[in-house]
Amino acid sequence: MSVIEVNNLSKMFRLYHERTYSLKERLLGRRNIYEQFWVLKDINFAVEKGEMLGIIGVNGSGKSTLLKLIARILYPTEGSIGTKGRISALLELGAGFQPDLTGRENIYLNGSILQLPKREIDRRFDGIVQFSELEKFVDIPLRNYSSGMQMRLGFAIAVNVNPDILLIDEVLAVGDEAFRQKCYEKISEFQRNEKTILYVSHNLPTVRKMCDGAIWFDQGRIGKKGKSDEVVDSYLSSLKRK
Amino acid sequence: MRELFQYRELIKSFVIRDLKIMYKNSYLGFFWSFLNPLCRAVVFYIIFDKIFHVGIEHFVIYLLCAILAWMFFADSLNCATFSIVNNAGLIKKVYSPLEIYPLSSILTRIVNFLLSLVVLFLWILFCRIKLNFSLLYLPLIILIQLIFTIGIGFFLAAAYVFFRDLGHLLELILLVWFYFTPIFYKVEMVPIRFRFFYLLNPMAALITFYRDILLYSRYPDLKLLGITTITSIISLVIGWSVFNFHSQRFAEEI
Repeated sequence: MSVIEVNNLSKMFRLYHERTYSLKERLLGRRNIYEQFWVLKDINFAVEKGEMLGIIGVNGSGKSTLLKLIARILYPTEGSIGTKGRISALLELGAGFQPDLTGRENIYLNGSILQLPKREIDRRFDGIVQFSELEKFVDIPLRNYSSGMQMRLGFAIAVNVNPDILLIDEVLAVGDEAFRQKCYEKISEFQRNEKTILYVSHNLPTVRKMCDGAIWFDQGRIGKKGKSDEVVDSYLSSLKRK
Repeated sequence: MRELFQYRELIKSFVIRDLKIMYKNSYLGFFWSFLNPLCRAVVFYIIFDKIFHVGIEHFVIYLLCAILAWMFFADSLNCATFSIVNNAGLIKKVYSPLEIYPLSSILTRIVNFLLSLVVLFLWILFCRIKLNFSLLYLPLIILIQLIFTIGIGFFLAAAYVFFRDLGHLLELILLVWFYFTPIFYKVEMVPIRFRFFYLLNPMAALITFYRDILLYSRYPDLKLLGITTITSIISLVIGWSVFNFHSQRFAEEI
């Protein structure tokens, strides 16, 4: 059963050459001049339940845009995306954190941003604090946290949402070795629990090791999709050719 | 709409967040919600009752009815207009129905408004004004104002994403609107042949109702109430549609 289905998906961005919002130019009747830029063109794929799919490609090849489209932050210009189940997107850890509120208040706020009912957060609260190893700091304002601490808290909340589909965008690249290890363990746990994971990464060894399949994005089109080893190999050889 | 209901907890957390942030790091915190209208009342009392001897009876209440309602309206629009752009960090990273941003910023303001009404009621008590059952209309009047404000707020929030001049224009619009609303003068001072059109401004009608109820113990004029309700609902429908029509592009434009 496929939980993500992407059909003929295309996304166009407007690139404004000289972005003008000003009244004078509007009154003079000059419209914004923009160039159409197709970030993604005719993308088709499906992800099965329990699959972990790696998404690789050079910067600007449309990987993050794809995740944002699946997360419903952006809308397709053409085509459609169908998903089944709760999606949690780790595009940026701690998006929406408020520096003036305490760790505890931020856990509740961020939890509800990620659509966790209050009693669910109550139930998972201790687990979140424990995972982030911030027991001592939970009642001080977030602005006194180091960036590493904020990130740990963000990850701890996001993985506790218990999603059906998890979208991860390179967030594990930061953090110290010990915490990174913990994150990978958490992802393995998700895999064992039959969760579907889309994993955007430049860390090719991890993609080989952890992902069942992979897609290589090349200038907004699918360069190759299939077994992660094969896809990583052809991506690497395409880089050497350049 | 159904989705919005699912997100009611998030709306609640946003309102609580905004209220907390509003008062964080201030010694008196939450009491400012009472203190601000109280100070205004005292200032009005000293200036208009003691120094200028304005002839209108209970002028402080007369002004407070209008000023508090106006502040709720103007502050709401000031927050709602920028709500999408100010939450860009969130909107670009996490999915959420975008209506919640203007909505929660307006709901934050209504909490403040309701708290400030406490001060107004205390002053009314202090002046020994007898209120009657017309008071039962008060929740309805507040609801109509809320509906009207949400409509305008949605429209402005969407418009600001594409048209940033609105940030500067808004101040001027509110200034003009302020003077087209009977805050420092009586509706009766408007020439009779313009008065019907003048009262088509929902804020003018609403403030008249607040005074009717809280100062004169009068029932609101039902015909005007009907017109104002319809105008407010039209504002909501238009604001909501404009917002929804453009909301798919917000994340790319901010």
